[in-house]
Amino acid sequence: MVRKRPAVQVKWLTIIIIVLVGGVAWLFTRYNASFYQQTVAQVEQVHNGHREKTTDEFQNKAYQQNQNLRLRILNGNRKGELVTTTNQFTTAQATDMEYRPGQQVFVHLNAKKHQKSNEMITGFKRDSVVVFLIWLTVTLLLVILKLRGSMALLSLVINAVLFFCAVQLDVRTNFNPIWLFAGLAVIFTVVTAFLIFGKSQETVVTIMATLGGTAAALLIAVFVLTATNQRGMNFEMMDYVTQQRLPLFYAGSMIGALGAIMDLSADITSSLFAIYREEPQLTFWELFLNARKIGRSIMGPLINVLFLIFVASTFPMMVLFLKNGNSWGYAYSMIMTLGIVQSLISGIGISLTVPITGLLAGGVCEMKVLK
Amino acid sequence: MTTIMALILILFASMLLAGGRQGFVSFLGLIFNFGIVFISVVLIAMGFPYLIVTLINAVIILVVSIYFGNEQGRNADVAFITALLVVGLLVILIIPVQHWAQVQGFGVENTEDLEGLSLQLGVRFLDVSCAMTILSCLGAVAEAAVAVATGLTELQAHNHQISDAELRRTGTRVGKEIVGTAFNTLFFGFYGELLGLFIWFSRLHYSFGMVLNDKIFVSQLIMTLISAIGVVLTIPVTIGIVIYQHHHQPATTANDEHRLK
Repeated sequence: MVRKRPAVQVKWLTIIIIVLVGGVAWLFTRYNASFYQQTVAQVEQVHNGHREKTTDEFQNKAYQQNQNLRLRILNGNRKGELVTTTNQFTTAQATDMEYRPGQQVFVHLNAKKHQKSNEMITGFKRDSVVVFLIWLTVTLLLVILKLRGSMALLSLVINAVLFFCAVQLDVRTNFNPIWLFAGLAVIFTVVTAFLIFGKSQETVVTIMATLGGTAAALLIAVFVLTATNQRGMNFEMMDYVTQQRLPLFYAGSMIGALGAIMDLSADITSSLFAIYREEPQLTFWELFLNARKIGRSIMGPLINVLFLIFVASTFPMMVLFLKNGNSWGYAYSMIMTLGIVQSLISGIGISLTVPITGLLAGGVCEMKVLK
Repeated sequence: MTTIMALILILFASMLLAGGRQGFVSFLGLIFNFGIVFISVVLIAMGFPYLIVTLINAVIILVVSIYFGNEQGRNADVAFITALLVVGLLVILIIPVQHWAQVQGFGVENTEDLEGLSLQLGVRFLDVSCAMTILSCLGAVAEAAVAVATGLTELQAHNHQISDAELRRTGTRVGKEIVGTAFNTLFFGFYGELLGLFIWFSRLHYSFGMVLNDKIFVSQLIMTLISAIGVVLTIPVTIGIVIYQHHHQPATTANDEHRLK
């Protein structure tokens, strides 16, 4: 009983600190308007107009509604001023939205001061949500895994910085993005493997297996896409393209699969070395079969993770296409094919990683015996 | 032959090479899951209530992901209950977060794709966003649940008299490995998915603030973070369920029952 008390007190202190950090971060995002170059305003009052029914050429029944908004400007030289503007939104709210009091928005102010209704809302302020979710993730990670969770965070931060640098390089130079991001993949792999295993044989095997699996996936992708002339793939609907499509697609597929491939090879490597340490008399072939046994149960769920994310991300465009009088088949071929090809490439990389890791790890273990 | 057909055949061959019969079953599971996801989006577009469609299909996807291609037994049962509980918690988180973030539909970066398409639709894109986020987290939750449940039930099978503290310790250790694994998968998937958009941001000199408030960026980040939260939540929920079963049914009989099956 006596021992329980300090534990409870520590817990209370932790909870208070967590809530305090979250509260301060949230308050900061509510009052950080002065950090923005764009003008930020808060919706103070909303007057809703009446709903107008609309019907489009595909018999979609919807409504649109007007709002009169009163906004308070939160930064810049017109800080504190109240302005009025109008807003129109539709049932779908696909590119517009219904505003409510208390929400913060970005506005573009007209140069002339007294031209009242021309204040245009240019965007919605979402930093509070982002900060909230990051706070929640980090908190859960640290509460549930204690300090051990911080390694995952560290590797996340390092990888994000590396990725940012690679994007900058891509924009500022004329390197082929495939080579640029292949280089990034190598650095990612080396850094992450060292974070997991430190300086050891496992690190070497993991790095080699990851690069092998990723390279195999990429080579197969290039080969198949070239051989089949990309038949059935619709690159014209690829999103956010500012440079040549195909190299960008390959680079994206490679980076997308890399994390999963790295995890799989790290998992197999660490289990295989552990088995080998317990039973050093195992032959190369027995080790290889063990790798397959470990790999095959992780492989399916891992492919599934990426597959569900890549396919679910196409939902908004799919709904839009289907509601615009397109057939299932046409919507599928225009919108979903790229995501599916990307999942297939990562799936091939993930499954080939299993035998590749088995060969490498088995080989390295056996070579040590020969010495 | 279309590119997709060729790639499907290669994937089938490599899954067979890597996993034998289990690889074959996992492959079938993937095809099945694709069918379910496709049906979900069609039903939502047809105007069926999104939450009912999504939740029913989410349960089906979890069944397929957890029971297909795994040895079925107590670990799969524990993983399934865990996944249901965690996805339930996530749904309670996803719906308010989506209403708060207002990331439904399309961003200014999509303008070119929207030319000539009618946006006066009866479907609320906020619902579509919720459905998308719920379905996208299932894979990560299922993977984590299977891994932690397998680690704990194996331990329990070796030692029936194992203490709660020992179960907690092992669960957290397995969980730590899973979190590292899943975070890499999720965040690299995020980078790969949005590579084009990040280059776009950089070319058009978006400021940090503009990126942080960008509709598409935030939408994808929410999907990734929700999956990450799901993975972390899986750890205590699995430990809780295993400990609960440990106390409420004698471990020996529970294991024997499953062996008889």
